[in-house]
Amino acid sequence: MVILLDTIDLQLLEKRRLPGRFRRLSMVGSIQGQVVLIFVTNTRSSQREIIRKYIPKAVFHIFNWTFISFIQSILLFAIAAPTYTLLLTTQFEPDLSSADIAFVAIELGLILTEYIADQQQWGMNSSPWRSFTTRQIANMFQTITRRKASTRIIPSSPLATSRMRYTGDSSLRGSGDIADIPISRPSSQFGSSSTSGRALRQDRYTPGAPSVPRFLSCFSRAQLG
Amino acid sequence: MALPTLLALEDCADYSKTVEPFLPQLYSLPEKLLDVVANRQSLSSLYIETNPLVSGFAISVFLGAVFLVASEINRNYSQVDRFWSLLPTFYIAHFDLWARLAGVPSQRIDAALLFSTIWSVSWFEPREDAYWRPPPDHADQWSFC
Repeated sequence: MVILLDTIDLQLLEKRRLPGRFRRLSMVGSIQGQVVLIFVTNTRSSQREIIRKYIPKAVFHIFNWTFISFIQSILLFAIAAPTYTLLLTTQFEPDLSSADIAFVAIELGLILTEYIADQQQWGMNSSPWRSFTTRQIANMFQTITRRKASTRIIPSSPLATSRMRYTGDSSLRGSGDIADIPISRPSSQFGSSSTSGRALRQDRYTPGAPSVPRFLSCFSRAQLG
Repeated sequence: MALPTLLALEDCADYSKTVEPFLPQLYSLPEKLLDVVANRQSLSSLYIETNPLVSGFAISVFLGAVFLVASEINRNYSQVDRFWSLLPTFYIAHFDLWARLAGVPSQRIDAALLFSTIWSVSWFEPREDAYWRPPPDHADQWSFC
């Protein structure tokens, strides 16, 4: 038996966003002697699912019949339509000129810069430091530098690294001062006065689930002390 | 003739000279496709006789119908999103194929196709992540500590 699960469905099922390692997980198991393969697919556009939540079903179907299916398809053809003009120009200039070659070279250069820039922007957007305000980051570094010189922040052995990883143990949560900063809890005890930094990191899919970023646990007292 | 006869280079971008004369071809295309189904005409001759802009538009409308049916069956409304980076290259390849079959010089379209193919390939991993997937959940950010 093969089960296909979309990550959006999984996230709705779990009422929270799944950690990264579950994204493409394919599981093999057996139910009553029957082999079960579970593939987690990632084919659904999350933006559209969000739109679907907010507008009536009938309106969404009209949207699907017009824009999503037909107009998008025709627009993609329209992107390629200038090739028709190129085709017509061959009546006057049948051969490739040096200007054509230069144009292709410039376009390829644009692809290269676009590729690099998009990757950098993605890296910047997924940086954990975006979760915090400048003030919170400043507090973190203050807390670190206030500690004794013997405090070891970078673990020396791989075993220590694995012990320090956040394992979902609730005792780790709330044990340290900085780890207490709520990240994706919209209605937290801290109120909404200082949510400007957190709003950036606000869970776009299933808000409301408390989750402490794993890397934060290394700042907590239990880990450092 | 499937391409307009033009007198000046500027005319290549003139809608009334390059597109408008071929709109009737679009309206008679369903009829001709029925002829192909009834074996009265071969598909390749219809392809060569039809203006490539008209046949490309017809293909895009047909694909729209395919996407619509697929989305209603699967209840997954992102069918175009799977192919959007490949479709422009597909249409440019269609123009290139038409030029080759009709015996029109195709070097400039080859150059466009080269660029477009590289563009399409550039949308595969890892950049695809940024648009199709939710951002990572701070899973592997230990280097920051």
